[in-house]
Amino acid sequence: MNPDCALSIEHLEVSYHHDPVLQVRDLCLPASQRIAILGPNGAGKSTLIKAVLGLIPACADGVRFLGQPLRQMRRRIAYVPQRSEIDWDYPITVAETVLMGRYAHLRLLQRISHEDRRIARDAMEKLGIADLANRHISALSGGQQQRCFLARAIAQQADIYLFDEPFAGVDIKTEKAIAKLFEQLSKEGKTIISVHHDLNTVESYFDYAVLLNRRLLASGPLHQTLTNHHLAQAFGGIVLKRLN
Amino acid sequence: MDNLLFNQLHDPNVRWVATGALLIGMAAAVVGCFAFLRRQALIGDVLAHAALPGVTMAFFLTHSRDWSVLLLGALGSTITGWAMIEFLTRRAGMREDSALAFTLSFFFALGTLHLTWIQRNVPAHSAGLDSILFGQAAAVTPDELLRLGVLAILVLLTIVVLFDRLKLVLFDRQFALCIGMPVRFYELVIALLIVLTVVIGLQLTGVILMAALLLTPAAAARLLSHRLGIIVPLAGLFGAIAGLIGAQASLMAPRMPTGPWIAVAISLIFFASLATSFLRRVKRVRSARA
Repeated sequence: MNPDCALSIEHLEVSYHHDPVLQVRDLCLPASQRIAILGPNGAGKSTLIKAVLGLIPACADGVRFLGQPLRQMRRRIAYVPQRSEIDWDYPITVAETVLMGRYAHLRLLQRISHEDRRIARDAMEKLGIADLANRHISALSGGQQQRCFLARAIAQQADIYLFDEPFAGVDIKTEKAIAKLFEQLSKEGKTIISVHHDLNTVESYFDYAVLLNRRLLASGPLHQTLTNHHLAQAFGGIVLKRLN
Repeated sequence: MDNLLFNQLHDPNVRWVATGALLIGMAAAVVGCFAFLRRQALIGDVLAHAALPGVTMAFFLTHSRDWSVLLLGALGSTITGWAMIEFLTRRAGMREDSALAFTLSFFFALGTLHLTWIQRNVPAHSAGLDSILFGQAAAVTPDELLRLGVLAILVLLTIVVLFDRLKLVLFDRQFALCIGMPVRFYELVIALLIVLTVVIGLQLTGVILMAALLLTPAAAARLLSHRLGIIVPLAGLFGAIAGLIGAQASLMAPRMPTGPWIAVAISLIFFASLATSFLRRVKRVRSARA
């Protein structure tokens, strides 16, 4: 149990219908890093994030965030789900969505304060969506939708950020905004753990990588993990050409 | 024009009936918004039908037509119906639509059989018991209607206090779980509010048309706004209007069931909203082209 690990896992196993889909042992992800979770489709990348957050049933032992169990760390962990998991029909505006990040810090029945509103507004400005504050969430482009949910995570002022495919299907402007945000957050000492699918961009956006294919294959700084050996283990031979 | 509600408000009885009907309509519509957003639009319909055997059983056991007694029976069997839906979907792995359809028909069939039996065998007291099917505001004493109104106020106050939290939990359950909110507690609150409003709305609309009062106002308001902070009060206003129309109907034709009046009135509001939102969209497309 190392308190320097933003996320440490002694043992984690997830099964669907008695079929083990993910097994992870002895993982320590260092704090203040930008960490990519890589692997082919069905490797269990999203499953890993959801399992450590307790969103899906899992056999877990010794899962700690900054040395603490999840229960004590909930408000300090921000999670941004995949865009496909949001109900875009729900009657809610951008500003209201971003403000939800503040509820992590409210006690039962405590009301949203002016300070909370200011923090939410700052988060929207940081992501360039302040002018869309009163729009309905379905009236946004894919990239704007992604930035809206990133702003909610920022408004939560967490220490650990868990993102599920934030770069999937977004425009260039959003991609740059997210990359800049990652950089800023890690400079502030925050940890980013993000599911990522594009091997070509890993090196520009991340410092550290976890390779998965239903089990933990490698984890470490990019130059140690993105080796031909490990990539072949994770993806098979196809990707080698693309990287070289 | 003497039998217009507005002209009779000097009569305290009429005033109580109108106030009760207004509050019940409002509470049902407001709670209905949350069922609507949970994509459980039909659960209110099922729970209302599930109330029938409870009402007939309460009458059978006590031979009382006192609405407070019948209400307890309705509450009991509605909660049983809700537990059955939960069991079938969560434990027995049944799909939700099948579980709803099964629960509705099972409880309604039981209730109808029992009601027929009672009307044959206990005719002396049971006259008018079938008003529970389509509702009859005039069949409730003003005193009772007012008591239901107080329950409706409690329901509305709960919503006002928990509004932001319910909004969050319904929108993004995973996020709410992640930040450590007691999600199951809020879901239970919503379920209980739906059960309670169904039960207090029964005498106004009847078991068969209760869904109209729960869902149509929410659907109409959703067409007019994309902000929950506007949709919910707007639905409440529509529900209140429907409640008043029900009270007016029972004043004009005390023997007629009120449920169909309310359902038709609220449907007209829905069509008006539909037309408004359609015209707005046409306008937007035109101005975008220009």
